[in-house]
Amino acid sequence: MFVLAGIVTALGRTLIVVGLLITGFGVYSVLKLDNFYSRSVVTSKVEAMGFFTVTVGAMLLSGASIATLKLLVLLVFELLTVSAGAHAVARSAWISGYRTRTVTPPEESDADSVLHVGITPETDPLNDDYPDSPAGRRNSHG
Amino acid sequence: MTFLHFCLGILVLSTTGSLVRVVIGPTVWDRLLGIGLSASKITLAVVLTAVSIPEPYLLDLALMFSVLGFLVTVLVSRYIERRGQV
Repeated sequence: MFVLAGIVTALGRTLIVVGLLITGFGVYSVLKLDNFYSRSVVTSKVEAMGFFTVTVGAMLLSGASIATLKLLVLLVFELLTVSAGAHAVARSAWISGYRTRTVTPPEESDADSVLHVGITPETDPLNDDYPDSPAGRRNSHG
Repeated sequence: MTFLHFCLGILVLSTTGSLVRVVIGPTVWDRLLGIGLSASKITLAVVLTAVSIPEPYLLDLALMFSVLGFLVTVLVSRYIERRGQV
């Protein structure tokens, strides 16, 4: 019975150290990458993974008590909100017009089977002339 | 130099690194990213302290801080994208 308690404690501490290393790797990549969108992609994955690992390790360390239930609630809440927060920041940057590569309109090419992707004037969020684009809708509300 | 001190040292370094991104970040969304990261790491520090010295009432603090960090990130980004209307 005491051996089992020792194994669980050692496993919990190992998981906590691994989670902290994952978090440290995420911080290094946030400091090192070039533009905002790359940093946002790495942050949302790494932060959720590191938080999950550290919280599971803490649950193993605290055994069968009320603290484990509270940590479970914290874990579920964090998993739900990290993605929503990262999406909100990236969406705010995109709608406000922050671009890191220029997006070109679809060009006329010889092959008709080429899939045309790009921003057309109707869907351009910065175009005020069309009432359907997000910028046009904002202007019509005053 | 116990296990708690070692883990808290790593977390302090990570939080400082995230705050560097808040200070440097050329755009305002970089700063929002850094604030979210720092809030998450402070939550982890409180969780580790609550588990090592067994005081389970500190976990309520961790839960409230993670809620506040999420609300700050979402509401400030919404304020910026709508140009002043929340």
